[in-house]
Amino acid sequence: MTAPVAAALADLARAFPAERLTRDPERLEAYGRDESDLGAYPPDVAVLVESAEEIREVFRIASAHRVPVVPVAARSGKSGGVLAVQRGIAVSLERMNRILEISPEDLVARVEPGVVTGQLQAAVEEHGLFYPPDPNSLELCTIGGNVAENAGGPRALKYGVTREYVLGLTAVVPTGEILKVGHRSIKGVAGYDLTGLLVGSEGTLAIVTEVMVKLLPRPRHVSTALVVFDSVASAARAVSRVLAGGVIPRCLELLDDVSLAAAGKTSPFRFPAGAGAALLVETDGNDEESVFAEIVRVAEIVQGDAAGEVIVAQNEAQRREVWETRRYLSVNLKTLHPMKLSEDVAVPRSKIPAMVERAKAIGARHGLVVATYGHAGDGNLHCNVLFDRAEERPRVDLAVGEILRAAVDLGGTITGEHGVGLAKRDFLEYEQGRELVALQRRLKAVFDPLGILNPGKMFPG
Amino acid sequence: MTARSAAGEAAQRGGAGARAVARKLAAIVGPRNVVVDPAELLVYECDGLTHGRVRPDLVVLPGSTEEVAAVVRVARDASVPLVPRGAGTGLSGGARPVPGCAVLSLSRMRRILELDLENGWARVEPGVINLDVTRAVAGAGFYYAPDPSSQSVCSIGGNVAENSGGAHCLKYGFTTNHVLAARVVLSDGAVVDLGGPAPDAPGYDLLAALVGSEGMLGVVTEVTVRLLRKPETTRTFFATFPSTDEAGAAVSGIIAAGILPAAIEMMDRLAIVAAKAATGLDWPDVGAALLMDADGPRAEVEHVSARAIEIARAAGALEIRVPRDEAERQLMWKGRKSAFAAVGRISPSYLVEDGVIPRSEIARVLRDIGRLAEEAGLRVANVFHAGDGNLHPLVLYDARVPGEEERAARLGGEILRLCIRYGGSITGEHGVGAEKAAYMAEQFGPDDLDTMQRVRCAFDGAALMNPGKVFPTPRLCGEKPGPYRPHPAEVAGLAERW
Ligand SMILES: Cc1cc2nc3c(=O)[nH]c(=O)nc-3n(C[C@H](O)[C@H](O)[C@H](O)COP(=O)(O)OP(=O)(O)OC[C@H]3O[C@@H](n4cnc5c(N)ncnc54)[C@H](O)[C@@H]3O)c2cc1C
Ligand SMILES: Cc1cc2nc3c(=O)[nH]c(=O)nc-3n(C[C@H](O)[C@H](O)[C@H](O)COP(=O)(O)OP(=O)(O)OC[C@H]3O[C@@H](n4cnc5c(N)ncnc54)[C@H](O)[C@@H]3O)c2cc1C
Repeated sequence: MTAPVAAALADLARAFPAERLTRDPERLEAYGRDESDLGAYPPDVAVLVESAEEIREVFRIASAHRVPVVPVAARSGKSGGVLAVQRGIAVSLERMNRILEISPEDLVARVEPGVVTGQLQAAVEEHGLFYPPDPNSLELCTIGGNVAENAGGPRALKYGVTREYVLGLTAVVPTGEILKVGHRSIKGVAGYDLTGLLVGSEGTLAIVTEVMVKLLPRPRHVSTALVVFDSVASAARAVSRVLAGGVIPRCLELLDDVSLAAAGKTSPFRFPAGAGAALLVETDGNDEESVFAEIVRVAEIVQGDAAGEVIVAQNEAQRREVWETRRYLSVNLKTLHPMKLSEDVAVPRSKIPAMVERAKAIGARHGLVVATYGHAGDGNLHCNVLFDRAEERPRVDLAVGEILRAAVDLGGTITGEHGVGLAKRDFLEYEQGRELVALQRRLKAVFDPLGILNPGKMFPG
Repeated sequence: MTARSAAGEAAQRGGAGARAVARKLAAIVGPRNVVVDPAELLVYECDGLTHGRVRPDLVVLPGSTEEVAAVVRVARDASVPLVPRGAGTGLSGGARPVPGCAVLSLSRMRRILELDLENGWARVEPGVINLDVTRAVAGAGFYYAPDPSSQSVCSIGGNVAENSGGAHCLKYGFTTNHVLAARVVLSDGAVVDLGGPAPDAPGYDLLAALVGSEGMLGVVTEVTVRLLRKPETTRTFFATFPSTDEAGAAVSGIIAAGILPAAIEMMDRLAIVAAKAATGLDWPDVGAALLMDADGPRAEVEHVSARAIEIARAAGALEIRVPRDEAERQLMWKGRKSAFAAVGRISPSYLVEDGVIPRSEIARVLRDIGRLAEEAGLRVANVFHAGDGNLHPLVLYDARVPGEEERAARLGGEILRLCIRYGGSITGEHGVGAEKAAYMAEQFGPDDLDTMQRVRCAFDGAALMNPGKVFPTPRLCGEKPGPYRPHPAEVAGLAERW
């Protein structure tokens, strides 16, 4: 242990009760790992904070000794955001998990950052309300993590990503200021939009301690359908036709052939042999008939491109079955090959077939299978490079790099929703250019002049 | 900041004023596109907020991103402040010049560069008029959603800088929700592209910071906006109420029933009187009225408007009018949209305020405003976007009566304070500009304001872009805050700020 760390630990021990400091190596190992498959980077200590003032205190100590601070939530992140690459102090938000207020009148909820997304959704639904962002990890990820990553999800097509639902924030910056930005009203344009700037900043500008989210009335009816195609190209054509037809489904999820082969292992649906792709479509609204009419309209629109029948879920149980086909995909892929590295890119909608093709070809060149699925309506695709043994990893990393560059070359981006973190920091400049990255570094420097907050993330070196 | 301190700031930088670089600018944009003639400069002395005029040294009208970048570099080298300007319809003095500045007008850059209907976007130059975007795509069944009442004259660049709203924000959001990407010239002349095709571009969301930054973070030279499909149908109704209490309750009831109207606008008695005087509409003399649009698929819309009408009745509506045809619908909206200007018919002068409150407080705040107005001995007309709680109190006064203008300004200020007290904001869509900088410190704490200043410094270290706007006590970058408040770590000698 270095001297500054030892000194910081001594200060922390004076400032916090012992039960809120973790030094147990096993637990620290867990704090230093997420869903990025980048390995474990444990911190020196984890502090279980309970308030903005306590975080301010951690920053004070960390500044004094120049020790890094890393915010940690549910660790479901896929870009290595929580990994303590330079060790230091993990600030865990797990204890700040209260829903402070749900206001049906103003259509807002005020929550602490550690609230699990799915729990907030369930709580607001009891009031007939709706918090739309639905990352597939919603049963474990937190609102704070969602804000930090600007998380998306299947429904983003109709309802947008986390940013559209964050009205205000309380956050602590490394120099000790406690920001209260945004407003309770849905409108308000006074000053720069610091709320917007902090959303998606991946825990590198400030630690969020309270979030005011916008809610919607809950749509009373949902209709779900599954459609099979003989190729990704015809599925993508169908996506464009649906959106051009004026229907905005709340989801349009695409699965390619490899994904279907994996999904078929547990799915109750029999996919025809040689099925090349499938779309999962969902419409919602308040009038049952019109919601059903919309899904029928979708079915009509896609019929020409589809291979076989459109399956419309007739009840809630069938709806759940359709969704399980999608939700368990990540797990099912591992039945094909035990290991995978999943990449998250987005391309213009019209480039979806090209992206899926290129990802496959890149995989093939490296002797690897790639499965692609994702939020087709937004062009947000997850390309999963499958492999069998850890020794293959260098090849896999090469393939992943090529996939990221292919996305940029198609006019897209290296991350649709999972963030840059540690995983993609070396690709940011390829997409955005030197000047834009320099501007972001300047911004980072004015928020965090000592460079103590989540160092090593987002920007190379 | 006052115009004088802005000039002081410029002088401190050692700038000689824009006149000194006129020739260099002419070499970039051509002599015809540099305006120095005092008579021609007259129209650039203010924006839609016509008091507090300041004459710029000159106006430069570049025709491309490259020309903007070259102009910005010349200005930077000579420490000349730049004030970007779109159509000049802003209502908070955002495009008001500062002494010695060059106004950078984007009005020559008005081409629609690219339409991609398949992916639902348009790429336009900043000088394009808002409504022209919709006009260009309406034939194909698309439209651009943000619709400030000034949409037939204001520019997309101005909309981005102000994060402009309109009547349909409750359902469709603001400019920030419809801008996918922007090309921006930074204060050092660098050209960057912010945002991108994905809903969440990697890195910091600089586009979010840019939208609504009132021309202080860079000059926008290209904007990619989202295009939406025109909804299948729109249903409108007009409902009258004895007072704003019942109308406010109807709004809350409609939202609480899970209805998301495309627009829901409220007018109080005085606004109705004014609108009638201006348009000759046969609206009754009542205490309040609501105008609501529902849009979407036909079946859904019918269901929703029937439900909303029921709720309005239950809340105490006196009369419900459903337009028989599109012409009558347009007429109702004309009544609403002309209400601002119409107030001119019943008062020699008036101030337009713009504040936000949580929707649930509408009835209470309107009563408070009525009380404040009575105390000030003035009349206030209210016509506003009720769905999102964005008030537009119009403070009526007569400038010929000594002291009345000052009283009106004071009342306007009291109304803003009321908005802050109820957890809202001092501006819902018109921006802070020069007009409301003094109120920023009432809505935000020093930590918030400091952080905003730091963001500005990261973009524009020399503070040459639209100086003197938004911040109550602007500082040069690196300068310590007003009454300096050290961080505890600094007191302990353990950390420094910059
Ligand atoms: C099976 C699976 C499915 C997924 N599906 C989706 C999906 O559909 N869409 C999607 O967008 N993502 C998805 N993800 C990724 C992940 O769940 C999201 O990025 C999520 O937002 C992370 O939340 P978390 O609470 O786990 O944060 P963590 O992983 O703990 O942290 C993520 C980042 O946020 C920072 N952070 C956390 N809390 C705070 C705070 N309070 N203040 C400041 N910074 C903070 C951390 O430092 C870190 O950089 C999925 C992940 C898995 C494992
Ligand atoms: C009758 C009337 C009704 C109105 N109704 C509404 C309404 O319903 N909703 C609403 O939101 N507003 C409304 N407004 C206000 C005004 O129209 C908007 O603020 C509009 O966005 C200003 O656009 P503009 O092109 O006129 O910009 P300007 O007034 O020229 O400039 C506004 C600000 O933007 C900056 N700016 C302009 N162009 C650029 C650029 N390319 N790059 C960087 N900065 C730039 C300027 O420096 C200034 O700070 C109304 C105004 C009037 C007169």
